[in-house]
Amino acid sequence: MQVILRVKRQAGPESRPYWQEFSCEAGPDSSVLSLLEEINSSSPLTDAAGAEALPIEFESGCRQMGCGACAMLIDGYPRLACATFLRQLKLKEGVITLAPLSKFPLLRDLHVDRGVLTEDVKRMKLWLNHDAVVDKKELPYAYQSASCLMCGCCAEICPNYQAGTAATGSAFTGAAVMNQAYRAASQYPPGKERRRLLKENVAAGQGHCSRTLSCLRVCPLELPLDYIISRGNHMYLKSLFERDKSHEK
Amino acid sequence: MYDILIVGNGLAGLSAAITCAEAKARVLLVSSNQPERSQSVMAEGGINAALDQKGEDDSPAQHLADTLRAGCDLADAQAVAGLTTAAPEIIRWADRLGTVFSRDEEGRVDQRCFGGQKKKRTAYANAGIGRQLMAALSRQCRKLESEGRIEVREDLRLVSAALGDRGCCGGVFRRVGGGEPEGIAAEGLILCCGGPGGLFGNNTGSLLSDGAAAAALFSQGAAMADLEMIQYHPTTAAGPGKRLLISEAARGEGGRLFTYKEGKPWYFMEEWFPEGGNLMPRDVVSRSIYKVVRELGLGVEGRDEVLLDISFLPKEVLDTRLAEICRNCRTFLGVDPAREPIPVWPGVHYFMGGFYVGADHACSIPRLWAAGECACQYHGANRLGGNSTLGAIYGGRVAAESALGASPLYSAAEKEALLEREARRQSELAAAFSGRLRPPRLRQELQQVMREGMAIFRSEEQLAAALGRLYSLEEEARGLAGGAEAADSLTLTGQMRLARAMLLSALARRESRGAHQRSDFPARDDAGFRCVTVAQYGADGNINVGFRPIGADPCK
Repeated sequence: MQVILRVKRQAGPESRPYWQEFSCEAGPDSSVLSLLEEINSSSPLTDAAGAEALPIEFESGCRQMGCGACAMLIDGYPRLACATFLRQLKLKEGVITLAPLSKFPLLRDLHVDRGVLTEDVKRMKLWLNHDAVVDKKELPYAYQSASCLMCGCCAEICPNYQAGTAATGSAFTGAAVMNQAYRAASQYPPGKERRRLLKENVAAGQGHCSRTLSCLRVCPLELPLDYIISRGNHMYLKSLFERDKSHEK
Repeated sequence: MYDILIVGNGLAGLSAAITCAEAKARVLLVSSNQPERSQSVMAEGGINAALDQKGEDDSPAQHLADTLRAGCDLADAQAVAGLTTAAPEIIRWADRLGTVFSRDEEGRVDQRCFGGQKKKRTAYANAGIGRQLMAALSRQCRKLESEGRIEVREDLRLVSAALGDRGCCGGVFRRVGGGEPEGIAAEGLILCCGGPGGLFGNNTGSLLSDGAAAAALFSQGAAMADLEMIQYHPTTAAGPGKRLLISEAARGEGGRLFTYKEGKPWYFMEEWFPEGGNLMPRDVVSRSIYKVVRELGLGVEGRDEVLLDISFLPKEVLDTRLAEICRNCRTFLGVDPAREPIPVWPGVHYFMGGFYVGADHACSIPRLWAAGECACQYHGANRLGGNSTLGAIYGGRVAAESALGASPLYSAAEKEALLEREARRQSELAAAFSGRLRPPRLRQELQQVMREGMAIFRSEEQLAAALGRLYSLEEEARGLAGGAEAADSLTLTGQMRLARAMLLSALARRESRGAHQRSDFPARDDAGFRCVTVAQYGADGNINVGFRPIGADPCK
């Protein structure tokens, strides 16, 4: 079938955005990413009106839902282009709308800078100052937590998340980062360090979460973010009554 | 001004950076993206180490012997001994950093069977070891970065190295998204830039592993070794525009390969190899599948496919230890492995060859080191599953250790002059393109040529034909586009040069060994070819291919 890819283009952060349409041949099992690749590899590259166009800039890597690079807004929802197939889309009048994730600084076209997620991880010091402790109960969730692609879909859909404002210490850091806080905390023995991480996470993370849980619905890996976050809460409450055992190991 | 500049933030790059930081070196880690995107996150199966905790009397010496045997005696035994001896400590280190390994009943790091090894030696994390290792190592790197012990740039692509008469003094980079080449000075450069999957396309790896950095350094004279050794992973499936890896873990957990013969399932691996069965080394399994389909004509419904059955495994194994495999099959193939077998066929997966390095990971050019998949080390003619993640972490560490403490070769002014000269040269090379031909189209043709020329079985005729087509593509490349696409055009001409070196290396090795199978020279020839194929690009524009003894010093 013939589809129209309607792409939001922008040459740079300061440039004016505009929409450009591309027409391509695709089947129900084509991924959105494969359409973008096909358009970009055509020579000459022309838009639906036949005018010469610049290659569309977007990120992609593994093409199998393993690296998180190709997250974008597809018909308004944050999804990975590699794992979104035409059969899953409404295709109203044969049109697919693509736009960059809106909550991260734009670099060009569909390419955004998701470095703010990493900045939050660094600001909250979500790492170990101690050899990792293995808590068998937490292992399955720690595994899920480390599987996170840091693709940014959860932050994009979240009504409480505004990128860049977290640096002021007043706003919400989002599920991807809370998830990292949980994993680091789960790998500390009960004690001061673990408590610090959890407090950090209450201040920048779960304290601001309004439980819409929209993150759960868009996570490409369907990670149990609600459960991971509630494990974090549970650990925090417990930590208020714990004796410091970090010296005993 | 840095002591050490590291290019690439996969497992090898992160391992090198952490090693440098701990030694208090001034280190800059450069890549074009965040570590979450690197190809290392795609590693599925596991990481090998003789922890000897399964009561099987395992040892690093046996790990060494298995690695050498699977590599068809082409790997440097001394270097591999270093790898297998360090392996148990590397697992403990990764564990301390918080890698979430799968655990046994006693809470110890669990290990499973993998191809080419009789002992349970592969530590794993369900079917996502790469993601778990990378989560732990990148977290450690970010900690060191926030302490000011590592500097990080995630927006630069390597264009070339700055080389003077005494060796390398830094790199020239372009910012992601465009801009002119800019130089960064250092006493040494460690390349951890991954395998050149982009020369083939339709492979299992990431698009980020495009081989551009390796091609650039090859064009500057860095020697490459064993480029003909390309691993076809036996079980890959036809995904959208790529081969989808079905990890060896599927067979490690008991999965069986079969096809239909006279209407009944025929478990050819088990019949042909009663002892190793489905877990023979990858080159053997790939050739067997090829034989079943192409020689016996027993592909499923006449297609290039056999079947991999894991449906009979306990649900719990499918849902945990093979979870990622099942998810990918459902999403990308529309196949539910719990109910039906997975159609598979060998696909380009890993490059055993790469930068010609010694046991200390030093390249043929002074002050240049290489580690991970971009380097030719440890795997010989065929890599064992579970040895790539290990080789990357260990290699990064060894490269960093040998790069540490390098005394200045050039004055600061000399470095600046060399960097400026190189940046200008690269700028001029790119500016020379002014045609209309867009690089992606020509790149697809290059990939087609390479897939056909460097198939599982090769012959003089087939390789020469591929070389002929490549020459005409190189002619066509003169018409590549300039302007916004000039940098990509230049990258593509480098990739073509590296591709030519691969074909020439395959032509020169007139024997069959491991991943390199010549239908016109079907026997292994130890007297003639138990040595390293070395390809080097000369100033005259020709590629010279010769042979060097295993374990020789690339600098001499």
